[in-house]
Amino acid sequence: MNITENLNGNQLCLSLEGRLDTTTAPELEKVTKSRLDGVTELVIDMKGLDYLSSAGLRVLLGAQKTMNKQGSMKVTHVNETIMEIFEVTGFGDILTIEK
Amino acid sequence: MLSISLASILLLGVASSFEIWRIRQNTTDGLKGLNDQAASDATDALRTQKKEELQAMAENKSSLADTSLNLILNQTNLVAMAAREVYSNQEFYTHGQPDSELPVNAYDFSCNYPPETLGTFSYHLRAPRSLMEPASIVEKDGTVIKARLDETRLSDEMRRELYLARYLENALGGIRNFDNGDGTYSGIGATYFCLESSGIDVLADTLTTSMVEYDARESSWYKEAAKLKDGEVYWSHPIQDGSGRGVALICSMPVYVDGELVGVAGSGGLIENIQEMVQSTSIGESGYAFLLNTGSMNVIANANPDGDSEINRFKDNLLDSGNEELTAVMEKIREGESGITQVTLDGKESYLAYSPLTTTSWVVVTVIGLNDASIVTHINDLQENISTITQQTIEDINVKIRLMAGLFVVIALVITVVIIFLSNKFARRLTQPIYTLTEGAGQISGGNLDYRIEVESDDETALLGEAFNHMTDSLKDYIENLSRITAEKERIGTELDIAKNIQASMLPCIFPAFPDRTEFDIYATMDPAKEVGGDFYDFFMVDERHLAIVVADVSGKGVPAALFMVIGKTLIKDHTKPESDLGEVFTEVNELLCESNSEGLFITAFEGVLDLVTGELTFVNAGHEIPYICKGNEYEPYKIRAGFVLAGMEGMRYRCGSMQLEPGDKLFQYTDGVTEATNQEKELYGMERLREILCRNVDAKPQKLLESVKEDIDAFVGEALQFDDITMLCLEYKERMKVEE
Repeated sequence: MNITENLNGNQLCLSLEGRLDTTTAPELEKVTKSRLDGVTELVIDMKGLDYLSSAGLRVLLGAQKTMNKQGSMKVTHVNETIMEIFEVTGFGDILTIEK
Repeated sequence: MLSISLASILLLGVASSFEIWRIRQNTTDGLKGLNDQAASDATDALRTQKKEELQAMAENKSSLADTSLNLILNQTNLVAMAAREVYSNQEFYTHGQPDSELPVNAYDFSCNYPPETLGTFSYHLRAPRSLMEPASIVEKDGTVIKARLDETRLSDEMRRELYLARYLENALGGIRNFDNGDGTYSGIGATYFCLESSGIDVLADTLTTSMVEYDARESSWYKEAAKLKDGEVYWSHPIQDGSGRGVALICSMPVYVDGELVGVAGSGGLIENIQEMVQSTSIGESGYAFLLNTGSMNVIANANPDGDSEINRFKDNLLDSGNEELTAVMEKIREGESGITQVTLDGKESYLAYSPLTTTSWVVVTVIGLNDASIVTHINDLQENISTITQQTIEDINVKIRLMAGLFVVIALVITVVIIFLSNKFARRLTQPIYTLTEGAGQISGGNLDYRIEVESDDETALLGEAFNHMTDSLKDYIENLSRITAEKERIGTELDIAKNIQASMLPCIFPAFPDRTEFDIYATMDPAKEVGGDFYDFFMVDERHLAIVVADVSGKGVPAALFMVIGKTLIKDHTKPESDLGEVFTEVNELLCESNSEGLFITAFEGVLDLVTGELTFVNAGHEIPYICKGNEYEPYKIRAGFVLAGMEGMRYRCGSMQLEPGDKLFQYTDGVTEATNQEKELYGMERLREILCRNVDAKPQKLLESVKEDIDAFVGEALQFDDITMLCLEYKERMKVEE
């Protein structure tokens, strides 16, 4: 998986490509745990994301919890497969999702 | 190093040998050159000396010959001077009388001893026969031996001259100067004066008998001299003396008074002494001299006894020899030159020296061969001497060279031994630490990590040894560390195995699970991706008529997930009560899980409770996959609005739903490990594929169904790695529970 970071003032945009699963989730977790200081707006761009597993959901949840305290987070460019996962897991209610 | 040293010595040896050989060669060559040079120089010197000797000899002999001939010339001159005196002063000598009377006996003359004796010489007259008184002529053996002049046949002039001639007696008597005093004479045999008017001559002679009849005017010495001017001299060719005394020479000169020839004075000498002088000449071993008359280029005397020599063969005229070199020299000689020339004579290179006489046209020539024994012998001796010296010197050098070579070999041997000794020592010093290192390395690689390498050296090998020791220490530490970690890992592995067993034992795994219940059949499996998985399933009887089923997936894997799973499973089971609402169960469980969730884990879970009597299935879904329901001939996903995952967020509220199952209906629930099983092409197994395999096994019992689905998943995945736990559960509602009213 490729993670592209783009920090613009207080806005951090993370573009994800490939699979976010058990193997790659720690990479994203590393980013979300170390880069969120002072960030008030986190955007997770899932345009290039093929697959999202429960481990990935856990990282997204962690990020969401952090951002709940210091600003806002949104998930963009969510494709149908992943949207389905969000809906099935109830993450659709928790996350701010833009299609 | 050893080989370099030995090679150096060898090279040095070869170079030195070469140098010594070269010096020897140079010396030998030099001596040989010296020998040749010396021989050449000596030859030149000897030849030069011989040339000078030859030239001196020619000049000397020429001079000697001149001396002899000058005696004859002087005597002739003396007579001529006397005649000129008498003729010039006739009045004085005739006392003024033109026809002075001669003494009576003055007219007599005979061949015997004269009336007047001049020592051993005889002074007498000779006269032509026509002036003799015929009656007075006495002959013996056809030769006039005594006669008297006929006065009547004499003119006045003749008488006067005859008178004057008497005064020449003293001059003629000069011949006595050649008296050796022992009865012999040298040089001059006769001296005479011939009167022009009568042909009578007066003479002094060494003979005791002499001719009487003689007309001097008929002889060549008179005729040739008469042609000459005053003061000129005529020299006759060597001729045989008329009196048989040997080869003679006549010197004559005219006497003029007032321009008138009055007579001819002459002297005759034997030239035997000159011939002897020439013929006795010896120069070197084969050198000789000869006397040449340039008038007709004939040889007068020759010291070369070899009749076949060119000089002898062409002695009548040396210009005829045909030898061009000789001819050229002869031309020079005829021109009156003196000198020395190198010519080829009789086939041999020779020096030819020539010196003309001043008195006559004679030339003394001396000859010697360039290779005359007197030269060659000296040269040979010289060369022999030098050769001997050269040989000795070379022998000397050879001895010294042998000595040097021996010395060199000894030195080379000593140096070689020293070098071998030193290099062995040096090599040992170099290699000993390396041997130590090699041995140490062998020990270490053999596993003896306690081995210490001790290198006694002050160079890099000591450092290397220390590095080896350091490496051994590190290796030892590392291996100990590794052993510890490995032991730890083994322990953890063992514990994980135990954990896995515990986890597995926590899941109901004895089938058939409810052998005494005919209302339903249930089967479930869980294949963990790792040793301990995060998935779990559960089924239990809530009470007599209610069966609860749970299928859940803990986010994350391994021990934390397993522990969380245990908590989740226990909480769910504890809270599921016959009268409780499933939504509230999950709401409560969520609160409890959130309290103890420091790791941010969450659980997706599906729980259903089937009323076996009515067939009503109440259910709650916390973010889990929706189940497949089989009613009749096919399985269909049953859409349930999902609640949020458990432990995700506090304060979440869950609502339960319900559906009606009829006997024969089946429920298939699973975790995302099924639909998200991935093959090598990164394709997901997916819900559609799952539906198809379920539909193909519509009639299958739960156990068989799960086995078929697993086979299909395995076939799809192929060699790809299993990422996630795969959990499946199938419930078949077989018949309604009969309630005893």
